[in-house]
Amino acid sequence: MKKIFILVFLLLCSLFLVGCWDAREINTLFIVTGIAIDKSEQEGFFDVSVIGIKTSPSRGGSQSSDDKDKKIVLKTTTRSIRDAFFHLNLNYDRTLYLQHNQIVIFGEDVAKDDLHRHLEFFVRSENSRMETLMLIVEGRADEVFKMDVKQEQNSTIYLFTHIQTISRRVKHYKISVLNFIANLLTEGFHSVIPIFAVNKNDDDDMPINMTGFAVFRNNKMIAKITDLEALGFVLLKGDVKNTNRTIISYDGMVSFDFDDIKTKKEIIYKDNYPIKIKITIEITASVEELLGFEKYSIQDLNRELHNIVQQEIINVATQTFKYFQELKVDVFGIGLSIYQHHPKKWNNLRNDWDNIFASLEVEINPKVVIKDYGQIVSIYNPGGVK
Amino acid sequence: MFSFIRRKLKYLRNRPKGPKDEFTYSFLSNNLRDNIHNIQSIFGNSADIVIRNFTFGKDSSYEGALVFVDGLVDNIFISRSILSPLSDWKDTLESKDNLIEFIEKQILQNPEVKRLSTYDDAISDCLNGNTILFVNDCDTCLSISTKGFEKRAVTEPQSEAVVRGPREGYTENIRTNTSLIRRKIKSPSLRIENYVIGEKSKTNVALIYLEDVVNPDVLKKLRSRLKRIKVDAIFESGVLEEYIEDSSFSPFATIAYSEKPDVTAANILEGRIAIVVDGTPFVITVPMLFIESFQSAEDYYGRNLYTYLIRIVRYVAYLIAVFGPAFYISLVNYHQGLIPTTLLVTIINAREGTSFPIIIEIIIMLFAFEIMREAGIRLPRPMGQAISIVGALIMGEAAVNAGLVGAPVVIVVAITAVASFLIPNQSETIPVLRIFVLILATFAGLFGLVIGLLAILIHLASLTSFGVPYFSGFTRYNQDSIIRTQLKSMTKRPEGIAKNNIVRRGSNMKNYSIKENEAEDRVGVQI
Repeated sequence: MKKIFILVFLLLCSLFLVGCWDAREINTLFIVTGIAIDKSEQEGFFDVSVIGIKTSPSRGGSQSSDDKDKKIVLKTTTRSIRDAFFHLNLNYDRTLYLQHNQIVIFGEDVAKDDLHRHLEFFVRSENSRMETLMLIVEGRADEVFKMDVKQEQNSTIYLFTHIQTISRRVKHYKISVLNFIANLLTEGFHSVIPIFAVNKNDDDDMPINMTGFAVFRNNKMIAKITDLEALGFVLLKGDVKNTNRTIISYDGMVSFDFDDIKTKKEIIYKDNYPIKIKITIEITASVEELLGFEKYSIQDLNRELHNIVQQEIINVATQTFKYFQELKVDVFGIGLSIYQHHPKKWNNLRNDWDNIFASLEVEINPKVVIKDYGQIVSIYNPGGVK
Repeated sequence: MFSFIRRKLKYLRNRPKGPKDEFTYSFLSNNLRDNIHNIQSIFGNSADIVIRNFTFGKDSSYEGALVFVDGLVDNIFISRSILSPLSDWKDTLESKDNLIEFIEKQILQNPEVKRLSTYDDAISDCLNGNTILFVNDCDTCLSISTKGFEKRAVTEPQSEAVVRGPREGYTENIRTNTSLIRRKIKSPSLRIENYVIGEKSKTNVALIYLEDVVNPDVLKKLRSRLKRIKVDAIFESGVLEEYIEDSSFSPFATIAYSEKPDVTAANILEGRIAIVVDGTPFVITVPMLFIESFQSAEDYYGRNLYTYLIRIVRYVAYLIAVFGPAFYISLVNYHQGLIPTTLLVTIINAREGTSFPIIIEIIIMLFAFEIMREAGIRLPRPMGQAISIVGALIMGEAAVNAGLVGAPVVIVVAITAVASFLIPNQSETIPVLRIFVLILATFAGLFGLVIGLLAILIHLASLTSFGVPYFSGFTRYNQDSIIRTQLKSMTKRPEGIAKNNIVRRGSNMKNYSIKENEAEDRVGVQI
């Protein structure tokens, strides 16, 4: 009996010592699913908008709410992010709950200015999660909250789902706050963040388009890459499950799916010579669409397609690499790999790495296997496509 | 004179210890009338006591009387086996001294007859359904077994229905119950010890065990605890359970019960001791391990792999039944970040517009459920069904629509309730633990829940059942715990329960390969 009393006493003690009397009824919370940060017209101030899901009583499974009523957007203008949340909490009846925040969206202006000062709060605050995704929007970020999404509960959940879906194919589209901060702290490495543009065309239900990547030098956005460079970036980065490319040649048009892209970088040093980098891109390709190429036999076609795709990869990758060399940003982590494998050499290079990167000699070496021609093997051209 | 002193000394030696009962222990008299008078005064003219005087022998030279309790005896059997042979005997004896012995050995045809010399024994036997025969000029009487009271037939047990397996269940009669066990274990080492417990009820209690397997320490403990019981009455094995268990303050039952002879027999074969109490169809077995609650008779009659699955389901169900509401409340009140966003929104939608805090909602539902369950059990079956319908409709639909509780709470309480039905042996433990953990979780979220879990584990680890650690079933030596191994490889009895004879079956049984099958076909099976 004495033991039981001691046990109960200890239990009670532990209850009082815990200090986490933070029970909150969930219907007093405002579940934030997205945050947008833009530059304000007022100098030194920022527009912070948060979007949350509007909850409404559901009884017996029936939920009566219009699509347009599903979201609530709160907006404030402050000097810092913490101030913004303090201000919003003060003026809204429910407590803002950030642990379910899916995404932080930055306007292009903010990204070009200084991204890090806005991320500090998300890294430091206990209420926020560092795994929250981040992206840049062309123009103003709060435009995203005005979007009318038909499928999901609000635009940020739509965006989150969208990014999750595409990142299953190309993982480089998924950049979290944690990833970005880690990249900032890594020597010899610059970051990219996916960039989106709000679709102002009311005719279709696709409210937002992914346009490419925003390229960062440290904490500032310096450029954006689209289409060709974006593909080149993906090829050079490697570790991609699936992407595609349509190539038009003199003989016809062919669409390829590129699966399991693996990229190996080999750094070649020679005294008194510029550093040379050899990039091997291994791709398993499959033909998805094929028009023209009537003059080729099946055997010749394979060789020809092989040449076409190899040449295309060399062109795209070289062009993209040159583009980044002009920008002087090493987004491929070449500096990082020198640092990891040859730390002593890196000591000599680190101060002037951006310039050295710009003068690197690069050799692209594609290894393509065309494994699949789809359900039909023969080439047919009923209408005589020219 | 000397024989009187000898008898007196013998009586004093064998006199039962403890407080005296209402009738005095004294010896029968030579005089029939005195004896009958005394019997009548002890019973106080109870309406069901029948005293039948008669004469027998040549020229009705001998007087006798039968004493029995109406309703406990078989009247036809009495007249056929006692009265009729006595009245047919038309002879006389030279001396009256050995009359009673003559009747016992030569006249009566009953299989079970014994000679008694005290009122105490006579009355005790009479109340057990025997007929007492007094004869004039004899200072002993005969107790003749004529039990013939109404008893329930062996039927399918109500509380332990099976799909596959024996369907016989215990009855309220101790002898039927012991015979059911004896029929399962036809071993000469099966021992049945009789005890009479209860100053007033004089309930027969039988211990059944296998002498070569039982742990003697447990047996010694059990015997001494049974002897120590001084109560008015024992009507059910549950009452006895509370008197003999190690820790009656614990929410966990440390004595197992069953209504099925095959379950008891299996337990006895593992080295446990069964206690059969007259008047109840529930036979208890000691010592009990925690894992026994999760074993069912059908686990051994069904397919091995399915048993793996169903055992795991039972353990998960147990965790849900105990921790379900506490886990829900800690997630919803403290750790909303751990709930997937879509689910969180659904829960909030359900919570919008309900007036009570979530803990009150859960308490309302848990109490409502307990009320409903109790009402369903106590009421006659047709009305019980009506209660379930009212419960399902009112609790499930109306309470949610009226905004008293949110739909997720109804689901949590319903799942919890259904999960607790999977482990009937723990049905009295689960609600207590559930409320204990719920309170902790309400105050401190998952932290409280973990504290509760630890407290329960510490308590379980410190419990014993007749000296055997209650939680010991999970050791690697136990071949039948979280999963039931193949019967072929279950070669040992649970450690701690059996002591002398650990090996249960030979290890020469194995899975037969195609090669061995072919070999057997060629040679023929050699046994």
